Amino acid sequence: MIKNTFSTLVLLSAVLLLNGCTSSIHMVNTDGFDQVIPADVDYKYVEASTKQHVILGFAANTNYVDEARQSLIAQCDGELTAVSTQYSTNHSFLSWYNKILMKGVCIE
Amino acid sequence: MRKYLLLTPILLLTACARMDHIQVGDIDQSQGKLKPISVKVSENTVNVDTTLALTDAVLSNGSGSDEIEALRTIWALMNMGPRTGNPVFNDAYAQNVLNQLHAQCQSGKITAIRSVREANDYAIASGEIVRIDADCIL
Repeated sequence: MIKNTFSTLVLLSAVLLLNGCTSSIHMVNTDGFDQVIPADVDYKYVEASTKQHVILGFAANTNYVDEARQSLIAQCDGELTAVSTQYSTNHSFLSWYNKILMKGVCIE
Repeated sequence: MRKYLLLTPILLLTACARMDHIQVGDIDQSQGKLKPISVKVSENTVNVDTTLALTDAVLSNGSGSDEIEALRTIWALMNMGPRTGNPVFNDAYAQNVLNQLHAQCQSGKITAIRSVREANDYAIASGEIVRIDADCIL
């Protein structure tokens, strides 16, 4: 009886503690550093992040990479260079989130 | 006792390098001298499933424990999704590679960028690595 109660408590705690706490970075790619940034020109880092919810293999939003790209472009009126892309997954209960993080240097 | 004596060298000697992904960009050697630069970020993590299986084997003398089996199932269900290497508990460790790379090259012109996703694997633990090697055009 005590052993069963203890086991139930351990399993319940595990359910609460282990839910969606891990993630995995699949790829980070960087390219486009072919522009000299003059000393007297302003530049800033811009970033955009979007995600796709997948439940048991069924994907909800298949345009999330394009959305990240559009969001990054919308943040820069000048030249967007040195763009890096990170593709990762956040794990969860019977589902997961695929995430795209794009960062770049905006020369204004 | 003999089991632990066998287990210890196995754990100590299983450090392996693992390559998951590599991508190489344009290589421009025509614009000046090149200086190698590199950014490496990593996150230590534990392979929870292997750890639980190992705990199960050691504690229950190989016969298997229902509780640990249940924990392994819960762990698998609660952390479902595609993975590259062992899952980590912090997904922000590679967010600043762009800034760090840019900071190492004052001219801002970088070529021959190699984006590497790799890991040091120690059986139940690993160091998940994101490394960017490149050449700065001086």
